[in-house]
Amino acid sequence: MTESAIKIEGLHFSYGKRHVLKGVDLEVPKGSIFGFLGRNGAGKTTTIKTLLGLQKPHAGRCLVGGLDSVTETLEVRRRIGFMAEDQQMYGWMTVDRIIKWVAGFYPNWDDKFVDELAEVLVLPKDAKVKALSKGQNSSLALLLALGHRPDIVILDDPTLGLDPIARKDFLRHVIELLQSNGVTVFFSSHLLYEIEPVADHIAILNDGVIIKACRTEQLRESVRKFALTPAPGANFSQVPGILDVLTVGDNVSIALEDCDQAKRAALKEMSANGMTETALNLDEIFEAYVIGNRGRKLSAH
Amino acid sequence: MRTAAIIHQQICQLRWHLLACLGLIMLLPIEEAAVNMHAGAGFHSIGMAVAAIMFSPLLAGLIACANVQGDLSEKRYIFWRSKPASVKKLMALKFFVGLVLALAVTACPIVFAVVSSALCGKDLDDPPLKYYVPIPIIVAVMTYSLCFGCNVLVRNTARSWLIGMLLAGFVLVFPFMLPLGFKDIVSDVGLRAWGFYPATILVISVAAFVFALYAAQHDWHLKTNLRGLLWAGTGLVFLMLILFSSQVANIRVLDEKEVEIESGWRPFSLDKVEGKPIFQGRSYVNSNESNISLDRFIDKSHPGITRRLRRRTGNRYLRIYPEAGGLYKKAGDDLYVLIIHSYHRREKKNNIYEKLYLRNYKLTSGSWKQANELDLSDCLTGETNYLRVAMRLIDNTLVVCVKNSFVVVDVTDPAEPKQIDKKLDVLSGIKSLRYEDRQREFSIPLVPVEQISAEERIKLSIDLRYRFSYLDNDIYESSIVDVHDGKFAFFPVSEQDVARFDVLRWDEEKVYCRFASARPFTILEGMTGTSYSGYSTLVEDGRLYCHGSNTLLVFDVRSSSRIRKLGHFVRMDCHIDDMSILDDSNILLSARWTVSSKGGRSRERKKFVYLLKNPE
Repeated sequence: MTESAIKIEGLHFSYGKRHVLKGVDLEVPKGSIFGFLGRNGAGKTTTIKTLLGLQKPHAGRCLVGGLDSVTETLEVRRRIGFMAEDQQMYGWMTVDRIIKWVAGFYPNWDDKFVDELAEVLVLPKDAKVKALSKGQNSSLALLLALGHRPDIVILDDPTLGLDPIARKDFLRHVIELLQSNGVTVFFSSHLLYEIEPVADHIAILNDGVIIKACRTEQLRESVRKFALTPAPGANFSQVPGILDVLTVGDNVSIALEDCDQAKRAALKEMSANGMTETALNLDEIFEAYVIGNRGRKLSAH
Repeated sequence: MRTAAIIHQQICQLRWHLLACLGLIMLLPIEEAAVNMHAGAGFHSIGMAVAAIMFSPLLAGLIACANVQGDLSEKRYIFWRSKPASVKKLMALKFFVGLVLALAVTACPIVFAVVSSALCGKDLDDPPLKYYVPIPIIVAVMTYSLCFGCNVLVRNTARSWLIGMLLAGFVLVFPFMLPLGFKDIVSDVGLRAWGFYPATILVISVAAFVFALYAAQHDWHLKTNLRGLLWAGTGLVFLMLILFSSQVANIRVLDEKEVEIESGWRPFSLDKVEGKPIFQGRSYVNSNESNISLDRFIDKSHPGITRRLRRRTGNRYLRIYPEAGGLYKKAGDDLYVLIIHSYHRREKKNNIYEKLYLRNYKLTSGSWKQANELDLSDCLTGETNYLRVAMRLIDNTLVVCVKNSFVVVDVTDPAEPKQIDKKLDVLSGIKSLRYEDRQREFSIPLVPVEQISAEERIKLSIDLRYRFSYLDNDIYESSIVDVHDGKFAFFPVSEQDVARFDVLRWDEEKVYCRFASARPFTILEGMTGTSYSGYSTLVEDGRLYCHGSNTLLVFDVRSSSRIRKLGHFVRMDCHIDDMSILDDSNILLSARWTVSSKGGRSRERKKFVYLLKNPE
């Protein structure tokens, strides 16, 4: 059994009467790049804020490197490098000044490493933060998150607002800097295509609960799409694991999770003239899980 | 956490705000210094520097809001909070850095005043800084703390400042409504009194600071509605105005009586005979706890003692002392009034005084009839174009001071006053108390009137020396000297303050005095009072009564360490002429309303006698 860098158990949180997290359970293996997927408002940022000890959970707990994020907040934050979505920093500071300011919070701040990072990320040290482009701003935020060489890096929608080139550039840096160093990366995003190439583990959060958490490859292999023409009297609701059913004329497209031979055989029986099976990319899998009709209205066929 | 980096960041974050505040607070002192330099008095500022300090609470609030506003926007808040720093420690550090900077801004005008006045060889302590500096500094600490706390909670600079200022105003005013014995916003709050009130302000400051730490720690965020805030603010301001006005004008009017206008422009005097007040030499004023009535003893057809005399005969003019009334004396059922008449002629632009008489009038069948006169013209020594007259009736002895001479008259029988002593050119003149007199012991010549007690001699000497007004002749029944447990103190009133001078000792020739304390007028008192120094002041039973043109102030002067205001009466639309303290301690005021006619010429319309409750 692999050791967990982050462990979330039965996490509940509400903003007033709005129940945002409804029992989140999650384990992030050490050294993994963990994609944390969810739509806007699914509760990703709330989960991360709780991980950082910025808010107390109403129930459950978060362990970061074995430390409770509520009782050992400062030590947890020392171990984490965090970059928030659309991160705002002090615009009137220069890059050099803000690096020094953030360095003041970390006893293990690595100035040499930071200088190297600044070179890699091509950051002008004497420029004011407010004068940086969005891409440079993200690079600076990444530098500030990594300067103390954390064991765990949490990136909350880090590419929000970046153009496609800047986004790819940023992700390339993330892979280069983190993947090889054995750092655990907890990468939250609603953009599947940016997580797909880097994440080796995926969790999908929807409406305050984790609806899927597994290795990325496993997820890709287990979710399949079948196209068929239903036979008369076909009842797809009898097939377990249907995520989405899309009807186009006489044809039906079905997304199926945990696909095995038994499920394939059951679907084939309901097909009038055979069926085709295709693999899904992460984007389509996410869509099937989150916005798919999950077998509803299947009895109509 | 590296403290130096945080402090550096705070200073950088506040630098523009600091510069703006510095510009605002130094504007008045620098302007005054420039004006002084232009006038050839050197580049220095004192008065405006002191005035500028009064704005420091407002600026301290601004600095407080600016101090944390940069850290509290939603996304930046997450940025620094996700760092491994104790929120409480970080916020405390920010608080104290900002506070030091706010106090540094406050100190700038003081430092400027100290340095510039020293360089120009000017007297710094006039007006005395120690009166004005502590109060705004204490209040600035409170406004800073409240605005800081509000901004952590509300996270909006303008709204936080507004709420902080409203709360600060409320804290300042509210205790005056509670049964805590607060009367005087100056002496109860500041000066050398380190009592409950400033302690309350500091406690509120500490509470706001602690609250701010907890609010930041627990990420409390109050989302304010601008319309609701404005309504609540308006309500609070209204409440504060009510509270404040009750603090400012807390003397209750028991009754007021409009008096029929008969004789045009006259000071409407209030004198006393055997404790009974006489209004304008025509009526007794009867009063109880709730109302007043006038009991007229002069016929309506009679114009009154001062009006019946012709003021001018050819080139010869008559002046009457006291101008606002007379000294009344009873003999059995008969009532007499003692008045000085002087006659002068006009030569070029000068009055040349030639004759002076002490005359007595007897109330006979509803009019004043002259009974007798004493010629005091030989007292008109020295320069003939100047005259100062003072009189004091002590039991049956009347002392009349004319310029530097005095006459003692026995008025046991007021119908037949008898001169029993006269000394020419033995008195010294009026003198103003200067700042130097507050720094050292000084002496006053004792009037060589042997017919009165030592206590009365001391009182007369002090009054003759330091009690004067635009009338030149206001030393009659009342005094500015308080005698308590055998100790003498006197209370001259200047435009800036009421001061207390203690009599240390006396011998056959001099009275030795020293400054004890002072109570400056607040801006509001200054605004409503016009100028107290030109009007009447008197001390009775440990209280100083001081009226300006439309304001009466009552001070408790028994404490040697501080003078404390007890009451304040304001009638913005009237002009107070005279006052008298009744035996039951209530206060009588005579006042007139003046309104402008269509042509713009001012004319008198109404006159009133007010019965006021002496404040507790």
